[in-house]
Amino acid sequence: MKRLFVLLLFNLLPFSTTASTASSIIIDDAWVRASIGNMMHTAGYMHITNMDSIDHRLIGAEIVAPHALIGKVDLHQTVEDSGVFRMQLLEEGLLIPAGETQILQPKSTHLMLMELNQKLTPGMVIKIILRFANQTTHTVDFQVCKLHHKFSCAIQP
Amino acid sequence: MREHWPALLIAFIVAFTGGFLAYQLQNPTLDGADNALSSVVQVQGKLGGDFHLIRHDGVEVQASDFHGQYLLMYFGYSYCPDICPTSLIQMVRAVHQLPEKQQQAITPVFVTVDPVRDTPTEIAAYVADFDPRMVGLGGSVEQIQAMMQNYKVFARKTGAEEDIKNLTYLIDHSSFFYLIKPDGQFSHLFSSQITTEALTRSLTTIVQP
Ligand SMILES: [Cu+2]
Repeated sequence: MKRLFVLLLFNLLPFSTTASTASSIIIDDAWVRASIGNMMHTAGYMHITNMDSIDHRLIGAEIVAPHALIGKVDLHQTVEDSGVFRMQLLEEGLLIPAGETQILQPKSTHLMLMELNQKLTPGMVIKIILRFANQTTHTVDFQVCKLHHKFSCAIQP
Repeated sequence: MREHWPALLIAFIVAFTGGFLAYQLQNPTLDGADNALSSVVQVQGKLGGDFHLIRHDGVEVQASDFHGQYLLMYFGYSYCPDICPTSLIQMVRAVHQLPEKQQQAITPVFVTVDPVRDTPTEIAAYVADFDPRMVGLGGSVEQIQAMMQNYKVFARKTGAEEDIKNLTYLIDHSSFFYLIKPDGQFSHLFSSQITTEALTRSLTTIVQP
């Protein structure tokens, strides 16, 4: 049990390294699914909490590190429509109402990482800058997690 | 975890009913009614049947090559970064939670709805990352179309004309788990909204090793 606790703590550490220009937005549990096969697409997930008394809107994201990693990041939502699943671009961005948490998770809202120039392997850390409508930015460390970790690096489904 | 079961089950049935009834509109030969006990969809009319496809090792296969094994089958495409990996992980996990004998009786299968990009080489690399026992199936556009028709699978490319041309398109597609019996006959259809636990529980009662 003690060992599990230490492991959990260790796992949580990378998620708390959120450098930001405003403290009203808190990002937890940010992770990216490791590349599967030869695919140069993957998805990223996180919890975004708005501690502010006003709404905020996430409008964009870009990969900033590692330096050699190039790729496009879009805000997507997986929706079920007539029994068919499709991904749609969140053109208006993602609203995080005052005092609420938006959960980006599998089969739901996600960061779509596309046209990557290299495979993402477990253990890597990807820095992604999140841009908000009020012109603040948050640079977040996304842990690259093994394929079988469905909901996060730390929590088994 | 146990005491949360009823809530999970209800959530699943509600979510599932909506998805399936709508799905029915595009596939009038499917008639849906939920079985609350097993969380399995009842299907009326013919579903499944023989197929001629290319396995991930490049070998041509047909349904009879898999006789003797239950097949747990999912249709998707490897460029799909969210719904497909999540569903395939769930499928593999559900199988891994079964007793060893039942596990060995089931072959997890991924069938591509994107034969243009998903060549056997790509499919081989893809399925290997999920489970060494997972079989990947592809084939010609015609072979995949015939397969999709038999299994009532919906798939449509989306994106600008440029995306289609540059092979950077995405695909809207139906997302179900199909269980095929060792004699090749269709057995059960599960929504991909099913929880891993419910899928394991259903497989436990259905699969006779
Ligand atoms: Cu996406």
